[in-house]
Amino acid sequence: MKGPRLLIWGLAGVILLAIAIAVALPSPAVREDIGNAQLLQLQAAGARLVDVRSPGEFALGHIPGAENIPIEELTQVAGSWNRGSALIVYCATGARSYQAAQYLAAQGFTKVYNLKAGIVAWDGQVTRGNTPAPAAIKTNGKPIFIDFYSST
Amino acid sequence: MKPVVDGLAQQYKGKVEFRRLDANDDATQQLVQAYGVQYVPTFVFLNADGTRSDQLVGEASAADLTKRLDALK
Repeated sequence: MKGPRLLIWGLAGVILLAIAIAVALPSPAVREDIGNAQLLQLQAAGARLVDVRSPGEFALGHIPGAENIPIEELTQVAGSWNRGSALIVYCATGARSYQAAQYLAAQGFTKVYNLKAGIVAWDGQVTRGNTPAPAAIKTNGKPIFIDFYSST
Repeated sequence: MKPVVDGLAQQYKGKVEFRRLDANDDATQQLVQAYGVQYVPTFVFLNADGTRSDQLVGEASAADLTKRLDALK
């Protein structure tokens, strides 16, 4: 009987040790849920604000300063972003942005914030519609495609 | 991205005006700020009346760009 008992105690020891190591190591999760006031503070400090809803939802109303990157496009767009910069994501209720934040954190982004309750709980200003082109752009009756690049 | 954009410029010649702007150039800072450009490449799609139809940040495939170019009015 001593053999099986030793084995059980041994196993229990290994499991306890594994739990202790998991607790002691820094958590890989870098995502943090935030509220409206924190969003404004982070945005004022230069955080990038990303609305992961569809363009249609974005046009109906979005938080001023947000850029619209639908969640299905995030995987291809975020690859070129600086992983050390602060990023705030939001959607309608916080569900899609939660997924987006998890994805970004897994991709190595170290400062990811999720507006927990989404824009439905947003009590600040809202911008409606797509931003009109500035007067500096004069169209000649045709649509325009602009490619901003960097020569450096 | 330049070969992809150049190819599309040929494809949409006469239908859509293509502009390549250096985001670091002093002359383009007004537009950089107006469209909130923080990273390159950033692609801005404007309808014929000047309203913004869409904006993409980061590398994009020809198919992604084509879809948005086709949606321009």
